[in-house]
Amino acid sequence: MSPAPIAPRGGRFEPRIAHRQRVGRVFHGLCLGAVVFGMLSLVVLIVDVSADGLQVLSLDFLTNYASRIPDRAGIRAAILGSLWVMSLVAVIAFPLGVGAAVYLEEYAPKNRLTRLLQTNIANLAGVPSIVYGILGLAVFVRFFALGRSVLAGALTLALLILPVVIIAAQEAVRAVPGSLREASYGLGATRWQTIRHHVLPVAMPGILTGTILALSRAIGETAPLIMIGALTFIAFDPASPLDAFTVLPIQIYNWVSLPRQEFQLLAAGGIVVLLAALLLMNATAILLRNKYRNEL
Amino acid sequence: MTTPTADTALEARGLSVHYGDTAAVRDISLTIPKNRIVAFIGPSGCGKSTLLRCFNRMNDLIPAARVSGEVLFRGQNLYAERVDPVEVRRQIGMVFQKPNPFPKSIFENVAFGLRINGFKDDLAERVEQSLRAAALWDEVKDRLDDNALGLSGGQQQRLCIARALAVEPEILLMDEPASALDPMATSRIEDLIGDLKRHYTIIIVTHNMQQAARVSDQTAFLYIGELIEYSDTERMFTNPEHERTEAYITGRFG
Amino acid sequence: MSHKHFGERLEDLRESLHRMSHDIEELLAEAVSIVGKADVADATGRVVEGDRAIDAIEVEIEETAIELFALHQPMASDLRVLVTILKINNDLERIGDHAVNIAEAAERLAALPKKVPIPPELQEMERIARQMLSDALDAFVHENAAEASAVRERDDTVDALQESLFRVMLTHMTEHNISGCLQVILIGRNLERVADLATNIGEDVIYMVRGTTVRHQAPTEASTS
Repeated sequence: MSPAPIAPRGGRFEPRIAHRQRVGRVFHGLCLGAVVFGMLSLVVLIVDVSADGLQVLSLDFLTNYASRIPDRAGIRAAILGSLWVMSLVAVIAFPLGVGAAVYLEEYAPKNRLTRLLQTNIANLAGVPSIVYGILGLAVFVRFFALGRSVLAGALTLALLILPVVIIAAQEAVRAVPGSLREASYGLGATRWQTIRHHVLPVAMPGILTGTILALSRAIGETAPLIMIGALTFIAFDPASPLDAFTVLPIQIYNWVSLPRQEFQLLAAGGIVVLLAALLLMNATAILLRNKYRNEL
Repeated sequence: MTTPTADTALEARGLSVHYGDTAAVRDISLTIPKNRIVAFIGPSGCGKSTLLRCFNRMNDLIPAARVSGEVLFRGQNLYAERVDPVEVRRQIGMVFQKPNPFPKSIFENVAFGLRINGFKDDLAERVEQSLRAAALWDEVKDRLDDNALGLSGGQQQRLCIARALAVEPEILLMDEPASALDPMATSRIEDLIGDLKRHYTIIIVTHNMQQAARVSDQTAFLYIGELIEYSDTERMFTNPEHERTEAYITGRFG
Repeated sequence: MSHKHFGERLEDLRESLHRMSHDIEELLAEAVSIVGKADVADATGRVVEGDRAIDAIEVEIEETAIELFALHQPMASDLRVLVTILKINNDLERIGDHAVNIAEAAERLAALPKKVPIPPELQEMERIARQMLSDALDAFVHENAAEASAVRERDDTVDALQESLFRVMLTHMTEHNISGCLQVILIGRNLERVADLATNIGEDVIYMVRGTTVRHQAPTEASTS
């Protein structure tokens, strides 16, 4: 249906309104299609996994250790291992990442060296995770003699997500309007006072969101932890950072590679738990961001 | 006009600012008398804001800017080696073009400067004094804990003025303080500026000539980084000396 | 509103003032020509009519000038030009009133049974006053302060002539008609006022060009400023 004309015909314009609107609608449809495709794939995956996994979920499943007998197998060690590792990763990566970002944005002179640093950090974000695994094995497990411990795993994963945290934190710090800094300096504040009282608080929602998203990537990392020797069969709770450990993705991977059908179901259960953990983390990120934004 | 006396608040001597090869401010010398309002006018890009920012060393924040020359305040050159800009900025305060209150409560906005400068006396009392001095107290006294961003544009700007006044500066630099505000708010700010001159020396940059005419005692006209004319406002606007000043003021260019 | 627009309107205003000044000069010439004639009724009527028309123009010019002030807030030289236009406008209107006074006095003279001789001083005053007015108005058009200064210098001459006229008429009063002599003195007074107003116009032009106020200063001091 071509729109009713309100401008006189003729003159030097040939607006072709109907045609342009049609092209717009086609494009709109294509974009919608892309979204639908993505969402559909995700929904199919979740439904498939849940169909298998939900039947396996039980208190026993959550509290049992791994076992060769499917009925008695559980992901207790994996959950605890993941919790331990992720907590340590957060504690290590957050201050290092934020500190580096603040240095790069606020203190570093804008010269070639800084730009080089910047580029390298971006590159590091793209390095395959297995490389970090090899690095972790050589440096943390062997050189620092930490063994196949929670600490070694946490340090390795922290390094893995550090570039991402730095970049996210930098973006957040950069987004703080310059006028705010000027106002602070204008009152006679030092650089640190300005950063502490104005830049960081305003950047915090962005920093937190970026960090939590980085952490939710780390929780699913398998390859580097396998490299540093996270065990697949653990029958105890890790009690200190130097203990051996396993994590959810490794446990899932282990069950998937076993031939018996029951283990496939167990794997699906593990995936459901992992997805739930991810959802929880993302929800926390959003909640925190909204909380800070409202306070502002 | 340019010979310093005991009543001089600030003196610029041979002040130049370069960004790379371009000179934004060229060899400017002038004196700012105490307790007066001096306006800097000129077409866009003439260097008036850059010149203003020399007086409290805000140009230090821009890495590409190179300042040469002297700024004398209380007999000292602000650009001497041992002088810390942080010290300068408490005594020479600044209000910016777009109101930029901190995203904190109204009280905290005014208190911030006091806290970081180690204010030893009654904080709350000083906050109230500053808000009164900025003609804002009556409007906010019942909601000091509300977020400053909820205030109107004119109120925010007065808050910024209160914030700057709180730390007891001698000189107040104002960079087009009313250009982002509507006429009523502008008028209130102008009245406020007129009152403030009793206790402070004020330098105001404005692109609005009528505002300079209304508000200032003396006016400096800048053009492409140079000081063309600097005289009593009344004289500048009825019978300026230089042709270029005349042309700018009558609106024939710029 | 743009400066260009203001410039155009200012030009229009100058034009109006220019035309008005022409009318005034003619009006004055006509009033002065009546003096000493016998049949003056029509001419007097014309002068009165002419003055009324000029009054209307004066109001128009004033209103336009005020509007320009309000809408354009002129500064510096624009401001001075506009102020001067307002003042000259006012001065010209008063010259018109004096022209009417002269015409009416001449009418009364003509009505007298016995003729009163017109002393040469009066004619000299007529000549100088009209010349001063013309020169002052030229100085405005040329924006020339020197020309304007020259006008001021002749005011003393006119004052002296009026004094002399007064004394002459006083002595004649005993021989001739008292009323008639008084009319002549009156005409002289009005011409003296015209010269004063022309001097005012000159001083206003100096302000417009130089930005200095020379009113109430003696001419020789002021012309060196």
